[in-house]
Amino acid sequence: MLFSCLLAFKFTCIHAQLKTGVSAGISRNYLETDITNRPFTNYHPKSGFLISVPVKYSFNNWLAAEIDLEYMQKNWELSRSGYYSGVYEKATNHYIQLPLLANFSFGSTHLKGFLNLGAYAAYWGWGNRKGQLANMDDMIESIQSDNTMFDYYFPYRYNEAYQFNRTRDRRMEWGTLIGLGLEYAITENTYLTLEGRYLYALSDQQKKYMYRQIPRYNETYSLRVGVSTSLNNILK
Amino acid sequence: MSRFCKLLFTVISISALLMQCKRDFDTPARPEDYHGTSYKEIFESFWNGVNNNYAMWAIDSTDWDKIYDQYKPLFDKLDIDSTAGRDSVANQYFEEMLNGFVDGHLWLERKYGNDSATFFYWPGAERLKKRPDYHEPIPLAHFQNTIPAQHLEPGYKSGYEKPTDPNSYDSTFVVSGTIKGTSILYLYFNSFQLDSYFNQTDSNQVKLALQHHIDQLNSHLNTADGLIIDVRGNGGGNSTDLNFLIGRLTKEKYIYGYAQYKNGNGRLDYGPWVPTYVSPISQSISFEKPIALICDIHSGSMTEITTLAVKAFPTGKGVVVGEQTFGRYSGIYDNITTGAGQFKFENGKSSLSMAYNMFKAFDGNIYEGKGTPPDVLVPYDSIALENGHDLQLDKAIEQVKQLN
Repeated sequence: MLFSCLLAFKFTCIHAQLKTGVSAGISRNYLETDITNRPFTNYHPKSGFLISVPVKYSFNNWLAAEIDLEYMQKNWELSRSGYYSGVYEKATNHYIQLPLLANFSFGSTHLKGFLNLGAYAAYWGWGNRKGQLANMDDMIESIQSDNTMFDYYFPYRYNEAYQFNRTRDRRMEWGTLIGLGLEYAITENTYLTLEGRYLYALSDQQKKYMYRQIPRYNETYSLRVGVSTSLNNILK
Repeated sequence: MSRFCKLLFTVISISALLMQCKRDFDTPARPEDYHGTSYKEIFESFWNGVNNNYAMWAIDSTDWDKIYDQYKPLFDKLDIDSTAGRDSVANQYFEEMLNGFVDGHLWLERKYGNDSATFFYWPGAERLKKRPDYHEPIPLAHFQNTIPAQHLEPGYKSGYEKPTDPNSYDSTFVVSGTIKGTSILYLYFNSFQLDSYFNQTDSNQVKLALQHHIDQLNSHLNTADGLIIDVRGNGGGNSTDLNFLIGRLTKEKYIYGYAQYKNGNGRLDYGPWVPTYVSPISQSISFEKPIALICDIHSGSMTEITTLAVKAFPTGKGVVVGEQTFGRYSGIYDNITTGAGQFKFENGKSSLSMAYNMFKAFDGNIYEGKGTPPDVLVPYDSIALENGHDLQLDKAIEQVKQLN
């Protein structure tokens, strides 16, 4: 819908410009789901890393279209509390992502603010899980105290590749995004950008395989710094 | 520009609205939190309880969604139908819903009729009765009287938990001795309650028999030709007994299997496979001689764990003789601790026992619902037993001598 509206405009291409570059930053991912029926158990957001190669075509001095090729980590942690403190699992998920967005900018030639609106598709490439649980089949012979499960059972620590489950797991994710940032022209053709971006997944991480299934969605914040250059001189 | 501003405002508003939408999740309550007494609520709490807490969905072929579609209308109808006998009909429905589950520790106990009657259904036990090798348990008298008299040297020691009820498998019974004409140690017990009895401060009979066994192990460590552990008819018990019994025989911690725990509401939400260990205890010895464990179809739960512990014994001289066991391995524990397993519903009147994890043996096989296959198959022979020949014991003695 967004791009249909944009295409309805008649543009003048006086300031048409093609730019590319690289940006990198940090992500902070929240796994949105509900496990309130599981006592002493919660999900927590975790940070990760991202790197992106944007390609941006400016129609004029306030409107552009951009597509990024991006690697982003969307991580989370499941942990227990109270008597079960110490039980946790940290999931690291590696996505290859293609955000497609409309860029609205405002400001002067040297310093601009911009708003990005768009959508993205992401592919879950691989993952890792690292954690600790109380091994109920490895009992401590001499109990010294009674504060947590680990007073009774030895911990089992693990750090392993996550095995994709074809019945349950969905590799593709899609959603919408919004970003706000600043672009500073270092030279006539080189730009520095700083952007905060929010991704809102519309697709469940899981395939529908059971009744009363509780969906799981990623919500990801990111902060990225990038440098880009105009390709107009090269393409002429 | 004004048209542009209106469009931009619309686009931003819609985007912001989409992203600010709070997602609603229809998370089912815990089965213990359903307090209604209608059959509709009973069914919902039961079905959701199994849906979220059953640990073996990955290996179970039960179509639980189909069960929902089929039985929800039937339970709803029970609320409408006011005729007598509705509880019995509900019990029949529970039996039909549960009869295909592979978990050998799954059973339903339901009080009904103003708590005056109890319905108990154990699919694993019903499955056992349909096995072609099914037989009734060997009478306890065979282990209490026949074996000591005919097969053990004088000086054996036996003990009961309940001296007034010695013929019941519900009583804990232990006999420790030496096989006649050999230096093979022998231990029989019908329940895994060894650690708890041994650590009691009083000198109970079971404790004395166990002490006799331990004394034999320590004094004959180098002269014994082997050890026979007889667990026929033993339905299991405390997991602490594994180290008390087998961990006592080794100074090496070793793996006998792997357990996988649930870590979410989804049927396929599992953590990693976690090794399960036999661990030495502070009084452990290094028993280097052959160990033969005798089991039968009624050997279940902790007994079956012990069959694997013997098969995986570090010396490589552990052998399992007898019949394929019951087929239930994982333990029972509260589902808050373990993330899966048993729960109560119907305001506490009903309870569904379930295993709290999925288990596979050290050889990578999952024997749940099937049983541990013996290394040496010796079927039950009632005629031979009646004629004084214990073929399974004879084979165990033969195996120990061969491995020596």
